[in-house]
This record gives sequence, structure tokens and C-alpha cells, in this order.
Amino acid sequence: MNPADTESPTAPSSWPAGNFSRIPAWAYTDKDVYQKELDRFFYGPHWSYVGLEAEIPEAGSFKRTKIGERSVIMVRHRSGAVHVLENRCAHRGMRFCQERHGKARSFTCPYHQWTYNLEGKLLGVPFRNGVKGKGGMDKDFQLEDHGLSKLKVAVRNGVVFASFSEDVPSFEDYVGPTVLPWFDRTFDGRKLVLHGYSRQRIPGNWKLMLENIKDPYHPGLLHTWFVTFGLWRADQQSTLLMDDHGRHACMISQRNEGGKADVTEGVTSFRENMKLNDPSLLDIVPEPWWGGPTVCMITLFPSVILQQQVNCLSTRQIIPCGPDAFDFVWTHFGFEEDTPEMHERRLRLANLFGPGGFVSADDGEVVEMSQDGFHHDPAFTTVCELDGTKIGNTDHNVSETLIRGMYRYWREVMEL
Amino acid sequence: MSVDLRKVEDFLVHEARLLDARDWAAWDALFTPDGIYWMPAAPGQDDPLRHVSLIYENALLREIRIRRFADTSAFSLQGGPRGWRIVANVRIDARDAEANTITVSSRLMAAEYQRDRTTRFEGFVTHRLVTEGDSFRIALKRVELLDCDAMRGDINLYL
Repeated sequence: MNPADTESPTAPSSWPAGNFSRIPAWAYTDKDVYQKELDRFFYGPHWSYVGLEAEIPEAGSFKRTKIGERSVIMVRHRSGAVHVLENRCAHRGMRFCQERHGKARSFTCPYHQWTYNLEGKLLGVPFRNGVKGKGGMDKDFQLEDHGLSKLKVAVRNGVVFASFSEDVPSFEDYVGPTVLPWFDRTFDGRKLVLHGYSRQRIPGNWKLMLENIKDPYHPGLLHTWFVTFGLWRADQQSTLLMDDHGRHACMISQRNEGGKADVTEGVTSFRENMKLNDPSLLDIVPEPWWGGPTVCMITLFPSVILQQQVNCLSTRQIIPCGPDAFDFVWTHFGFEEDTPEMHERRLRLANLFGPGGFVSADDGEVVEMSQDGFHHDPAFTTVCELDGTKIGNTDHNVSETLIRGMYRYWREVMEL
Repeated sequence: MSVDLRKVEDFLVHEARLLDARDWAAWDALFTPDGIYWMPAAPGQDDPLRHVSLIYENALLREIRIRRFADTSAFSLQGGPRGWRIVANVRIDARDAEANTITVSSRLMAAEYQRDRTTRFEGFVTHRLVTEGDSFRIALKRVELLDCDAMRGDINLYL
């Protein structure tokens, strides 16, 4: 069923103050609510993910992406600095850049050839002085008044974030002292190597993807594959952490000692055949920088999930397209210091976890089905009350506390 | 080595029919023991081990996926997908008499129906086939979807 064909709940109805565990359907479907989310989160004083420095290795290398629904270009300047410019010509608003990646010395809008440098400054416009003394721009037309919108940029250890707002706190303050060490655990300054992209269009509200990664309740139940191969157990050592606002979170867990010998019944025949030793399947090699945890999933509100699933490393960018859909872009990466074997291992796992693999296909589908369930009854609310209604860090994974934390923040900023 | 194009076409149609019929076991049996099914994630991708793929599977991984097709608890597969494939523009691009293999290119159009929705797939397909008696075994099947690098839905089938 196409959600667009169905009736959306209208204006937000009441949501009792102080409640963060019963989320009304309109929070996922209402167009005005969605626009307010774009304005306050994606275009407001928040940091949004734009990419990895490894994607733009040379002067002039650029990548086109989006923050919310606005098209932006991440580009490397000759100085080495990374700039993020809005892909919108100051003249007629054209999204002048249509290439996904490329290399440029300057940007020229195809419509009237207004040309900008890599910092977004307008270099020149055709017929500025008119033709044969006629027409052209007025004398007081100043090039410097008509540059591209330039976003505020934060680069931390190879990861690039940008903000449309001048009022955004420093990236470090934004992430906060609880989550930042987990960010730095993966991104500690080692040079990153790009392994490719997977791209999904998922017909559900963008918040459902964050909720999916803030929800350690589902993997063992939805992804039976995880359980079968001993990647997930309800009793495994887990920690759920969030920043002071409740907007960012980490799901951290460690596989039980004993690993393969402990896995559940379903795998017996495989084990007997010794097939679990097939390197194409789960050839997991612990890395020193893990410091123990085998899985660490970080949600940096509102735009990205940073994934470490054993040896598999990816960023997953969330690009909302209306209340009913989002694009989900996976950027797979490794480290320059990786051995060829580790490079190959990371890729094999990326194939298994990715949208053509065995895990994320299921997540995409359930997000879609949830969204469909929200469309027919404005009074419906979801129930996020695993582990009660409290909000706080836990030392187990049988909790929906991280979702509640996110909605406490959401309600505060949205004033809803 | 003389290999008749007609025989190659028959083989590709036979393979497509097995997939249409969701006879995964019979289809899987067409592969050589170390045969690979590959769906790249980028146009022109020539290396499955240095760049992520949509699917890159040996016999074991295919076995798992096929077991998953039959597993009703795999949520994304519920609702009984069904589909058909058209194979066309078949050409033998290369012959290696020593290795007893041929490389065949074709174009694929496929449709899959699941839960009130039909999804179309278009692909550039390359088969590396090992001659075996009167027929062939698949050493490599590479399916490059026309929109392999687009924002797209999940891939829940073999094409």
C-alpha cells in the first residue's frame, strides 16, 4: 500500500506532558510536524553528517549529498580545508551540481553560467557590463553579496559534519562527553579508506531508523540470522548510553565468551559440518582498538548511525524525503593500516549486513510496515515501555530507554 | 572449442526458468563447487573484494540464503514473492579452450511481485560457464543491475 494514498492524521492532537513512552502516530505522519523537524533539527543548531574526508582526497574533489531535503556539496579546497556549500545558485536557485562525486576547479551553474570558487564565492556573471552599453547589472551589483550559502563545518578525525546554523555548539559539546569517547574509539585519527556505498530508499519516517538502532530489543527477535550465528543473545553483556539530552546514543555489546560453542540450536547442523569455519561467513578477528566490545552502534541525532558490527564498519546517513520516506546511504570504510585480509573481511561482512544481505533487508521492511500502521488512526500511539518509562543508561539490552530519551529531546525542541 | 550459441541460450533460459519456479536447490546445483554469484554495487565494478557488493556469495552463503527463503520467520520474505525473467541479447564474448570455459554476456529483464507491488529489475549479466559434457556449470554469474548504485529497495531474490 502506498502511504501517500492514505489519509494522514491531521493536526497534532494532545500528547500528555511528561510522557515519552507513548509516541502518537502523528509524530511520524503529519506534514507540518515534519517541516518543523527539518527547520529545527536538520536546518537548526544541530550537526548533520555529510561524509568522510576519504571521499574527497584531493583539492577540488567533491561529493554531493543532502542535509534534510537541502542539497549540499562537500568539497576540498586547495588549502586542504573542507567546505560545505549549499547546492543552490544564488541567481535562480538552481541545484547546479548534478554529479554525485567529481573534481572541480570551480562550480558553474549551467543556467546562466554564474561561477563560484570552491569556497562558494561568486567569481563572475556573464554580461555583467551589458552588451554594447546596454543592459547588464547595475553598478552597485557586488559579487561578494551573491555567494553560495556556506555551512558551518566540523571535521573530527576524518568525519565531516555541517550545520546551516551559526548558533550550533562545538561538535564536541554537541556530541557530549558520554558519547564522544565511543566516536573516538572508531575514529581516532587513523586514515580511513573508502570501501563503497549501499543506498536504500525506505518508505517510512526517518525517526524510525534511529529508533531501530536505539532498540536492542529487536535484533534477536527479528533477525533470527543474528541469533543463529551467535551474533546476538538476550543475555549478552550490553550497555546502553545516551548524552545528557537523550538525543545521541550508543548500544554497546560484547559477545559472550565461548562464542561459537554457545550458539543456539539452529546452527547445530552447520557446526557439525564445520561450516562456521568457512572464512566467507563469519571470519571475525578481534581488533585491539575494540577494547572488548564486539558491537557498537552509535546514533548521532538527527542524521547518522555509526556502525561497528564486529569487523564491519559503516556510516549510515539518514536523508528524510517527506514524512513517509527516507534515503539511507551506507558508506563502508576501513583503515589505511588494514591488511588485505582485513580489508576483504570488512567487505564480506558489509555484504552480509547490508541491504542485499541478511539483516538490513528486514529492518527496511519493518520500518515500512510500521509507517503503514500509523496512517489510519490518529489516536494510535506506540508503546515504548520495555524497562518501564524511565530514561537513563542501562547495563543490559532489555530496554527501550534510548527511544524514550530521544523523544524527551524531540518534544523539548519541537515544543510539542 | 566449438560451443553452439543455441546451446548457451538454452542453458540460460533453463537457468531463468529454475529461478522463476523458485527451485533454488536445482538452480544452485548449476554452479561449480567454487562457483560465485555476484551482484556488484557500482557500475563497472570489477573487484568484489576491494569494494562492497550487493551480493557476493559462494556455495555456503547461497545455501544460507536459500534456507532463509524457506524460513517463514525471515520477515522480509513473507508474502510469497513471485517473479519471471527474460534473458536476451546473448553473446559468447570469449572462449578459453584450455580452461574449458566460455564467457557469455546477456541482458536481463525481470519482475518480482510481492505484497501488492511489482518491482522491475534490469541487468547486464555475465556468465562464466564451464563446459561439462553436453551442458554447462556456472563458475561465475555477475548481475550488474542498471540501477545498482541508486537509492533502491532490498534485494530479496536471485536474478
